[in-house]
Amino acid sequence: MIRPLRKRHLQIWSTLLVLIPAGIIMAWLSIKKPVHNNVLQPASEQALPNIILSVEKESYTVRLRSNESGARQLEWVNKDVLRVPSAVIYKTSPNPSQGGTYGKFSAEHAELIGRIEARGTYHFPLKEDSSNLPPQFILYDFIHEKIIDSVKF
Amino acid sequence: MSASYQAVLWNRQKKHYDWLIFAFCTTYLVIFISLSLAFNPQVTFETLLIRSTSTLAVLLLHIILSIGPLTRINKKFLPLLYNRRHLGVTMFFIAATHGVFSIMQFHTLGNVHPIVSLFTSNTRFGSVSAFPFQALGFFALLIFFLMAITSHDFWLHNLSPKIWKTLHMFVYVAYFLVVMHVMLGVIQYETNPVFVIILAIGSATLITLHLIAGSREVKKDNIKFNLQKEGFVMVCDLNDIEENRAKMFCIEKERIAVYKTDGKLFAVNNVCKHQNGPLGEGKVIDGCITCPWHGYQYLPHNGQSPPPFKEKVSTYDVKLEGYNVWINPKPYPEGTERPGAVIPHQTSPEGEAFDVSKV
Repeated sequence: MIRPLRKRHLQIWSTLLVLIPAGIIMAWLSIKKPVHNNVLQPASEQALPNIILSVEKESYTVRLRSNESGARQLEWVNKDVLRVPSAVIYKTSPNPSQGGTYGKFSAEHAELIGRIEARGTYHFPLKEDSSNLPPQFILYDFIHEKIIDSVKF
Repeated sequence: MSASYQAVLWNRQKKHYDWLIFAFCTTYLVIFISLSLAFNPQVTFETLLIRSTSTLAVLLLHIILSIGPLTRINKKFLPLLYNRRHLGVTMFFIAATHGVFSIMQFHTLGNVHPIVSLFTSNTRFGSVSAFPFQALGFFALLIFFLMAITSHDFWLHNLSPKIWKTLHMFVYVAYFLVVMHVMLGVIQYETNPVFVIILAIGSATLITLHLIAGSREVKKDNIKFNLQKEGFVMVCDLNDIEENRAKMFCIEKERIAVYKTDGKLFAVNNVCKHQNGPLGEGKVIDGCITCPWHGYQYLPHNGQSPPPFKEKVSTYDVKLEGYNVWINPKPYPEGTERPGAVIPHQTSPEGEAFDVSKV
């Protein structure tokens, strides 16, 4: 290399000595902090000890749990990420006046249990139910207003 | 050299080197894609290609930029320098694959031209975290493209070494653009700090290497030679120069290489006519001073390339007083024949003739 070229190289790298760390630090500091996501259901509860009923599906497992004091709980285990981002679970109970059938699903009349999103285990407390018949759970896409799946025990 | 141009001068060494580059790139891509599929099987082919080629191109760019200072720090790296252009062109093709697939993935589904989309889909130039980082990658790729298409010696001769070298020094601008392309792009979305750490280590290593090599060169340039007489400057002891090698001295802002070969000392300008390579760091091969960068050759006694080549460098007067080597820093016109300084043979006490320079 000729002398002016050597000098220019040194000048360029002296400049980069300032510019590159400054650029890296500036970009690093500007990384947005992850937004805290408030999901509809409360923080994961402890699973109740007894499994009353269980249904195994390809993408999820659904269990009805209880404890000694009679409290009941829905356990929803998502094995895969749901393809629908706006999925909620409704509970419908059989209607004794219709011979114990569940009737046509209506989101307005069903009981909203909670929302499921990513892969993982979700626990939802269930209200006391006077009926001895097992409930039906509907996985519902509330944006497109479509039933994704129904779970019967 | 310059007597005639051939499309590609692939000698055995270059072929061997190219196979090494190919094997390295293939191995890297296979490992990267396999690991990605193992940890994230849902990833698409386009995404795999974009990610694997981007990381490989950044890695190659760091290797390319470290070769120059490494050769100045240690001569063992010189073979890498001799083949650096092939690595540069390879890096361009890999970066271009990343660029083309990125544009296809992110800018071809709309109703505007993909290049227009690249510059208009995000115009938040005032924001750091949402800066249109793809534009930075585009301009870096443009520089690499210009460097790749002008990498052959044909362009070096036609553009002139000054313009060619200036164009190729834009690689440093491209490097800065690449660093910011990564930092303002994937790093803003990828929370794992390992990517920032790797990039920071790479940049720190490059900057350190260049500054160390540069400061060493400054030191060489600033060595003072105080002993002068009759226009000559005493530069070293005869035994400081190895046979068929040279020592380089900077006198009056000009670097001069003093070669010891065939029982004589010769002095020529240190700067090779090809790409300003350091002739003083080369060696004599087949009777010719051979530039360590790309193998350009010059005859020691007149600084001319052997026929049919036409390159010439300046020559200088050199003389020997005892073991002291003296140079006259006034250059002769390029290609001027000089007699050199004869290294006297002396007779040992046992009666055997020997070269004083080997004592």
